[in-house]
Amino acid sequence: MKATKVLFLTLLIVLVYFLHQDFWNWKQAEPFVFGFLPIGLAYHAGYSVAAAILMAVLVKLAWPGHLENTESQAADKESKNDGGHG
Amino acid sequence: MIPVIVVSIYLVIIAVIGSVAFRKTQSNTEDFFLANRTVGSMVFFLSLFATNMTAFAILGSSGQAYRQGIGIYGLMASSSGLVIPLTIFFIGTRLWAPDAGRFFS
Repeated sequence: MKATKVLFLTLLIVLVYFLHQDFWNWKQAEPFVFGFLPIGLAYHAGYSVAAAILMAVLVKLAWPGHLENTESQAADKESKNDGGHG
Repeated sequence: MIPVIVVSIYLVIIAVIGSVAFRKTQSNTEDFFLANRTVGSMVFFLSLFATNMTAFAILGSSGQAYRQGIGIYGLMASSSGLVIPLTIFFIGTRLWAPDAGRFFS
């Protein structure tokens, strides 16, 4: 994977992680979103969605496909070894 | 008295479900631990979510939420919503690989 891509994704993960510390909401309940949802809870509902989007981006851009290739290579190796013992 | 009745009914239902499931399963380790590899994405997600909510409840999230308010959701649930998938993505995938020993030996 390209170094710039790795750097971008790493910074994105760090950013999303630090956005979790919404200290500006810690000491207040208002304003109420939709009239009843405290701002802190509404923020974290949105944060949960953002975390899901981040994971979708990681799966799309950084899925460790080489591990799946390893699995098929291991299966091939195993079938060759069985043939040798026949 | 009503809570006792509700809990008792719940336990009976769980016991019946377990008894029926026991008769339909294969009684081997793969069936017990992996549901015979028939667990789909949604069931897996719901199971993982329930496991984490149970852990939070045991740690006292319910009491803490009563004391400090709904903001406890941010403390526990939303941080887990990021950290657990990241852990599965970076560590779980390598544990799943057949040659996991080269990552963790």
